[in-house]
Amino acid sequence: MKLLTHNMLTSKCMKGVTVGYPLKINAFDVKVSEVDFNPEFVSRIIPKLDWNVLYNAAESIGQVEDMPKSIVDDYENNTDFLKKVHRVLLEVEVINGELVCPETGRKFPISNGIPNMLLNEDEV
Amino acid sequence: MPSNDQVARSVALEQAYVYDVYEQFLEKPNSGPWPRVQQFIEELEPGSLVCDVGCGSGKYLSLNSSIFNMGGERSRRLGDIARDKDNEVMILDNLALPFRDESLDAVLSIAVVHHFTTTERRIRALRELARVMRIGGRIIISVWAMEQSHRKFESQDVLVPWHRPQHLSTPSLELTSTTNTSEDDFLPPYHAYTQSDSDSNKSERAKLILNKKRSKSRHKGRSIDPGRSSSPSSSSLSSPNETCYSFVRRAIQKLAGARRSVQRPWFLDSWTACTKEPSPSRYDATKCDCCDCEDVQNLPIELRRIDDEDIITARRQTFPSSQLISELSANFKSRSLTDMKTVENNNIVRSKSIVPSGSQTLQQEESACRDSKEENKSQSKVSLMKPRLVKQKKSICDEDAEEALDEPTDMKNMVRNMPDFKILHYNSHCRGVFKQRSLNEEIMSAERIKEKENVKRNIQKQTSLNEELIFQRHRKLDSLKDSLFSVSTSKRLQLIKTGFTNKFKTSTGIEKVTSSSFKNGFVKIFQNWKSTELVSPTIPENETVTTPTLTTSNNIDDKKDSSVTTTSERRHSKEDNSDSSKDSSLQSDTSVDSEDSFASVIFIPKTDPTSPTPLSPGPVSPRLNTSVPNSPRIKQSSCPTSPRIKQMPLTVYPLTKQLSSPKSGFGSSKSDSDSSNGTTTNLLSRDQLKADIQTKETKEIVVASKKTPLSQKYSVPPIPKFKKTSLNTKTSPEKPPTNNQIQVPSNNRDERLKSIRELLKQKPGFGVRSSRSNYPIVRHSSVTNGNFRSLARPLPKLLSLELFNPETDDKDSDSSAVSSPDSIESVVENKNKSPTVGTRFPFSPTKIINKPVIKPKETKDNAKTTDTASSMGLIEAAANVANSLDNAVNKVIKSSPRSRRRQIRSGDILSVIQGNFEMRRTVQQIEDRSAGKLDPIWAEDCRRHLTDFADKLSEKLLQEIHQYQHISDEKQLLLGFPSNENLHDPYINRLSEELDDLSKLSAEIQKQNEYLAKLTASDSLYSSQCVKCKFGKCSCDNGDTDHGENVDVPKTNVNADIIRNSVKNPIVSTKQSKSENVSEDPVKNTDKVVDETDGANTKTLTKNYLKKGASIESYESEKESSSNSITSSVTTSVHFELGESGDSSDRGSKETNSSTSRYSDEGSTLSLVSCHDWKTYNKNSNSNSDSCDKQFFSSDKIEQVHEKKNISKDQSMSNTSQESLPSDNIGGAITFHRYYHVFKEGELDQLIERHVQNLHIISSYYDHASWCIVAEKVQVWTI
Repeated sequence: MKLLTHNMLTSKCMKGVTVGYPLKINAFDVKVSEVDFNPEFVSRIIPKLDWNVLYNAAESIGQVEDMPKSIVDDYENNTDFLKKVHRVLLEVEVINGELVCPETGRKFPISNGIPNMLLNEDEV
Repeated sequence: MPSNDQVARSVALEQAYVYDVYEQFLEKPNSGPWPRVQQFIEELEPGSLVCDVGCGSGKYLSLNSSIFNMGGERSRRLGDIARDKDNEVMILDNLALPFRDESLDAVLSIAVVHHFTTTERRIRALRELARVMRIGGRIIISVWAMEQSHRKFESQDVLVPWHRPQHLSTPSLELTSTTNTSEDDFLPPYHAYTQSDSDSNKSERAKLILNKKRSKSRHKGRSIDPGRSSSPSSSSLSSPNETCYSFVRRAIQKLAGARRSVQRPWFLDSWTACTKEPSPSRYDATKCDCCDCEDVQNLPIELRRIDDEDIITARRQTFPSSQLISELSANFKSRSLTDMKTVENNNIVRSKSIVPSGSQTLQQEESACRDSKEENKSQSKVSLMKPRLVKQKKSICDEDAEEALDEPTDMKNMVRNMPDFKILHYNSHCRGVFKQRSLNEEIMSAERIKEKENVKRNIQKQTSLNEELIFQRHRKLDSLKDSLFSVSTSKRLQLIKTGFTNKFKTSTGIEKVTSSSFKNGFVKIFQNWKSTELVSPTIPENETVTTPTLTTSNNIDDKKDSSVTTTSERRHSKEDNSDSSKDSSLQSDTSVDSEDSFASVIFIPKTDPTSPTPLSPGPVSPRLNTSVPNSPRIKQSSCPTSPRIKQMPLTVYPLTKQLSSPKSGFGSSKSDSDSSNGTTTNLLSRDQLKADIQTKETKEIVVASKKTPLSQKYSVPPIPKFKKTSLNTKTSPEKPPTNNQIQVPSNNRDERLKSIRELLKQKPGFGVRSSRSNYPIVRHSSVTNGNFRSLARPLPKLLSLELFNPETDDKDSDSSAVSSPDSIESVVENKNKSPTVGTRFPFSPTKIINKPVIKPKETKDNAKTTDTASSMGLIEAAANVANSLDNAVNKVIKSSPRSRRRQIRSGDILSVIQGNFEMRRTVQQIEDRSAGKLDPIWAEDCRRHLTDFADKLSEKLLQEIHQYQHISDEKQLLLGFPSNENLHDPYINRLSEELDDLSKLSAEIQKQNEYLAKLTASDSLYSSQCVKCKFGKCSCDNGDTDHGENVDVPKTNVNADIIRNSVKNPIVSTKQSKSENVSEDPVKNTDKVVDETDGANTKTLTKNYLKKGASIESYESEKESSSNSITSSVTTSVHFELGESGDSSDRGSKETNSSTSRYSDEGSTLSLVSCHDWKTYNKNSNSNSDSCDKQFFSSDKIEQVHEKKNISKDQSMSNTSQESLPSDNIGGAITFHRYYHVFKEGELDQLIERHVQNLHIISSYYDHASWCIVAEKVQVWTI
């Protein structure tokens, strides 16, 4: 699971959960793989992100490195910043771990890089 | 919103037929991305966050590197596959997408929404997709289209078989290379066939390949063969893998485990619930009979929606019938419970239509009701038919033929007169049963009086009337041979039964006079035979069926006469008649007997004084000339007696009872018995009403003619048989009271009863409204004991096989219990009758045409054997039987159970008679011997006929069963598993039991056949003797002597044998538990044939044989079902069935053993024991009858077969239908069934427009057999 994905995930579909975001990451196995850098893509993605969530997620798994805590102005032209974001968003993957619902504590397992977001019938 | 149950069902369905399938699903690597989808993805602006919900193997996830395309998949396996392609994948549920609101720029929903089983869920899925998409985001949705060029869907909810590509194909090199982690991983590219062509495929796989795949997938639907061929070919083309088998096995194991644990129970429960609870969204997951992997593999299984299911559930009974009808012989239409009568009528009509003459007769009947012209036509037809009858008569007796020829003209006149009556009756019937009843009541009294007067005044007229009736019947019969046969047979049987019952009753009362009574009875019997012969010839001219009816009526009359003349003689005659009648129609007799027992008991003393011994000889000659005159005489003598008074009160009670009974419907068995009497009276009243109407013109003759026409009209519908039986039963009860009135009334009554029966039949035919009312009436009439029950039974059976079967069983048992309260004899008879009647009824309604034919044949045979016996009759009867058999061959299966039952009944009657004889024998051994001789002859004839019938029937049944199985298979596919599963357990048990019984019976039957062959020689002698007796009117003694001579050895043996038998029987019974023992018993029985006990044994044997035949049939059916199930690829089911069959066979053997033991006991203590035995037999017969009914009733049978098959399948399915399938296909391609809701054109658009308001459809198009929509999320302003 990439942190970009995590930035979108929520447990709000669960019964009794109003926001369910952000999900806490308990990473057991984190993998950083190299991904082709596409500055356009990253620059277009950044506005869609909840930067704080991304930062906290990266921080929770120790992959923040030197990524700034807040979005840099004029990031479209800041390739260094974009690469840092690119790394956090697309190259860092949680292979094994779990996502925890902030409201209910419900854990969604992550295995083989695939988070299982399925809910039981009684949880919907 | 659907209820929780519904949701659970839909979830279970999706789990079983979507998720679980996809977990096992190996997509073909060939499939590439759809161009339009690819275009959609490529046109997304860079940096778009996209989620492909239902990404499958992820073929769309990597089409555009400038977007972030997350793959969401429900299937873990597919997710892993997609993940292995370096895609971002998550496991999610379309109904609960784990994304923030408006977080995505685009959503792909390719071939996903059609997997949701309910509209509500589809809407939820669409809304969820829209939720996660930002305003201005776009979504592309594709769903399978119902309109496909390569496959056609009759239902929108289908289970589409997917053949797991043989492992060779599935693991493509690419896939193998990519996936490795788990066994599943080996499974190469999973490819939801339409959905996913993964990116991996994109570059390489050409559109052509895609097209091929698509075509393949399409073919799966129904153009199966190509699809399969394509799929394997594709697989082979793709890449053969060594591990294919191992992989398949693994997959199968996994599937089995998963499904067994979870899916099965869910699915079954869901289905059951679905069937029970109607809901719009529900789908009858008529589970695809995955079983028929090969045949069905490619065929999509159509799931019927709940609405349909609801209808089905409401009409389940009808449904199977309808399907069966269409499939089998189109005789049966879908029947609503309320429309049962009408349906029967329709069936009858159809049956008639089958026989050209029958159709004409039907038309004639209708026309006759309203137009005399049509009657003329019918007459012309009759005239046409006459020659045939004449031929028959000639064979029997030239004189009779001549008479018959003369009579027909009279009949025509009568028929002409009839129409008015018919119209009146019809109107009354149509209007309402109550009206009819009231009319009947009124008419009953008036008619009775009139009838009595008429009888007294013109006995000869009555005779002529009888002849006329006969002729009319013949005419009608000619036209409506099938229906008439059934009716006539039933009537005959009933008449015979009544006569026998009366005789028995009298005999029981008059035990003192045994010796004289025996002689007299023999004489009377001979006389009856002669009369029957006379009558029969006439009938044969017109139609064979008519003859038996006439004979039966004559027999009854003779019996009555004999009873009237001298108690002893009467007793004998009754016994003899009863014997003959028993042979011919045990069931009717039994039913009648129960009623008769009451009346007979009362009347016996009266009859004794009234019946002078001299009457027997005198009546004989006239009887020989014409049975009718004899009866009138008796009637006259009896009329003055109190019976009238009794009758009146009886009629009154019955009327009240009838009124109550119809209201109550089936009513309690006790009330039924009472009501039966009432019904009989009602029937009489109806007859009387008719007669009254007729009286306007010429009461006596007209009445007869009217009655006859009515009968003719009614005769057309085969269904009436039940009614007829009921009428017979009614008549029988009436007869006892009428005995005082005299035989003539009885004849009239018989005629009336027949006419009533016909009317009843006609009524249903004429007006559906009336038909319903008729049913209750019939039921009431049948209520007498088993009849009511039987009636009730058949109806329910027709409606719902499963439910009704148990009910019928229960009812049967109840009937037996009810019968017991009556006099022992009556009880026994009742018991016998009740089961037989029940069997008959069910049969007749369902298989009107076929059954009637068979019945008439059987009755004819019986009548011939019994009545004329014998002499001439046997050969002719045999020929007739053979002819009838040939004609009925197709119908035989259906009819066979009836015939068997009848035979059994006859056997029962014989046994009863024999029991009586035994009593008498104690008094006079010589007479007993003579009786015993007669009995053996009858028994032999009966046995022969039975064996022949059983053989033929078994063969036919087997054929039919096969047909049914096929039909059932088809039905199963259509209907779906759930219903089947629900029903399976009880039915399976029953079926297995029945099958076992049948197998045992078959062995016994074979043995019996051998004995019969031996007996046939003796029978020929007997027949010759009988002929002599007939010829030499007084020949009774000669015949007796002859018989004695012929039978002397057996007799002597018999005497000793009897004791031995009595002793041995129990032993044998114990032994009989084993099939070998059973075979021995029959042999012993055959040896002892002469002995009454032997006769009883033989009867029991015959019954057993009959049962065996039925069991054999059921066995075959089961086997077929098993074979079908096997073919369906459910090996497990086969094993289950086998095991069950074995169990059932054991059970059946036990039952047979018990019955046999009981029978042996009967030899010692005939009546009481016999009663118990009868009960047991009845139960057995009921079970058999149920099985037979199932088989015979096309619908019932089909349903049953389906049930059985379903059961077997269910069992196998319980293991996991899909799993079972894979197991069957081990080594080959596995077929999975995926649920699809195929969308009609515009359906998806409507869904989105109506329920997902924030999606604006940009474009809608058809692509790849799918409806595709590209929509944009818009801001919806809510005030």
